[in-house]
Amino acid sequence: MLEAVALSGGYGPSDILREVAITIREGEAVALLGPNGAGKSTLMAALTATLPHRRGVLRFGGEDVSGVPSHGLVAKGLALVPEGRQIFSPFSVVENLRLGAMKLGSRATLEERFDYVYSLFPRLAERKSQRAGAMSGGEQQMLAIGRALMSKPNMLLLDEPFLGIAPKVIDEILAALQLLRRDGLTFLLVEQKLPIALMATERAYVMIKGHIVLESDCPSLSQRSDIHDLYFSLSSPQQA
Amino acid sequence: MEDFLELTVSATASGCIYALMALSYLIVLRPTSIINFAIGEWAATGAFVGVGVLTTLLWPRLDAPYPVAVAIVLVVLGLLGWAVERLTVRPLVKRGAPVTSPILALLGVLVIFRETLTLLFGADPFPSPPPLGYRRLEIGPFAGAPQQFFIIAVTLTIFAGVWYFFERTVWGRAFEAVAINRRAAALMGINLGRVTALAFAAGAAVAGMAGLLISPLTSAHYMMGLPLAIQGFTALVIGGVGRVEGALLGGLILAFAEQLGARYLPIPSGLTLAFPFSLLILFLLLRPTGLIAPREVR
Repeated sequence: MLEAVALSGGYGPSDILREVAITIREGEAVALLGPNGAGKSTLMAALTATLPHRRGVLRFGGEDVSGVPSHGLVAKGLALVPEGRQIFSPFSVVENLRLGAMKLGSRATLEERFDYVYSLFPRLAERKSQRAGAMSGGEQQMLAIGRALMSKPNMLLLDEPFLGIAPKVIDEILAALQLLRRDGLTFLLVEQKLPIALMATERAYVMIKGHIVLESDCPSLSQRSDIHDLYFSLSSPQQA
Repeated sequence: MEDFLELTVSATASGCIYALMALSYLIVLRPTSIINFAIGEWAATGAFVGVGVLTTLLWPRLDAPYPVAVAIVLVVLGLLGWAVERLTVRPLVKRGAPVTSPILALLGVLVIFRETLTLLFGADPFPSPPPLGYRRLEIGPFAGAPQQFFIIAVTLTIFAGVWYFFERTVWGRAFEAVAINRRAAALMGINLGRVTALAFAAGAAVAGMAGLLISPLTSAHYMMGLPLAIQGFTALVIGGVGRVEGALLGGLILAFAEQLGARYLPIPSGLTLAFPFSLLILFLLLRPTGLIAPREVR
């Protein structure tokens, strides 16, 4: 469904991403693991065409979308829940969700999307007219996910959606992701913590210093005793 | 008292013109962070296009009814604004130029527009026929030139429309979303390029209307743009760049301060422009966000 070939790029003249190659098939739930500063969010920016300097080939739904701008990718069914939520905090919950559906055509689909998101996150339905910035971190994350789902995506990218969120809400969001999978949504989850990633996905890429260094299915990943060593030995010099 | 009421009408009318100029800045500034000083010349262009349609300036008299002239000014200026964005702003944004580059490029556009007006129409002012004639008009206790009441009515209509667009329509919310967070807006499927082009088209149309509205009082003149650009900018600073209402409030405050100052304070007539400038400096120092603060972002 989504395929990146030799994707390189960054915000300045020097590359953060170095020839990244990933493939995600339809219906799959894949994790992208890696320490701080590995380039995971930069990869999300490259996949959604918000990265200014990008090279390589990007295919989505069997089609070459390398030159397609962000809004075009949304129309094709690719949505991103960005790092740090990035909701429109002065706007109400409803207004945020409505903006997520900018690319939807008919009124009927719009109603259907609102119903879908509200059934997935009933808390958003209770807070429809609340100012988004006044909500708790967990509620804002639900809003960010709900907003991305409003465009009726075929594939969802989630960039560290559990960062700084209460454990109880993490469980709620994980449950929502399970429901989304059952409805056939493909997703790529960026995460730093291995246990959470293993709960939500079936396959994982590990990224370090702009390279994909490992690809594995989750069951064998959890059995590999060296994964923590690998992960931390490669990440600790960077974090220090 | 009668004197004061007449001054109220005249100050409100001037304030409305300043407010329209401030609104023109604001429409472009909100989604793009670009301050477009060329709007003064766009107002002058609007005045000349209007006069051209209404009089024998360009061709034998068309006898076009006023609403047709208004429509032509809106369309022509909208297209000019759109074209300027395509030709000067977009290429710079695409190449990742800093935000000051389009501002400087637009100063160049300002010069091009002014010189073109001079070449086409010369340096002499052209009288512009007012749509409601010249007879003194009295509404309740208020009296003034019909054009002044016309300016007030049209300005309030434009502001109501723009306010409705920003506050109540999805596209207006999309404009605001781009102002709050460009990247998140792009991820919603909002076409940033289209929003920018629309902002320039709408900003130019509003500035053109301001020029057309004021032309019966001042004549259409190639130098009319600069004072309008400065007064509009002052009004914008006073009212705040965050909200549509701020532009209206800022325009009115500036015009009242100007006219009350000129009438009741012993300011030599050569220094009347010093008054708004003092106000501008005062606001920049003491309240840089303007009177109506933008909505909290965090």
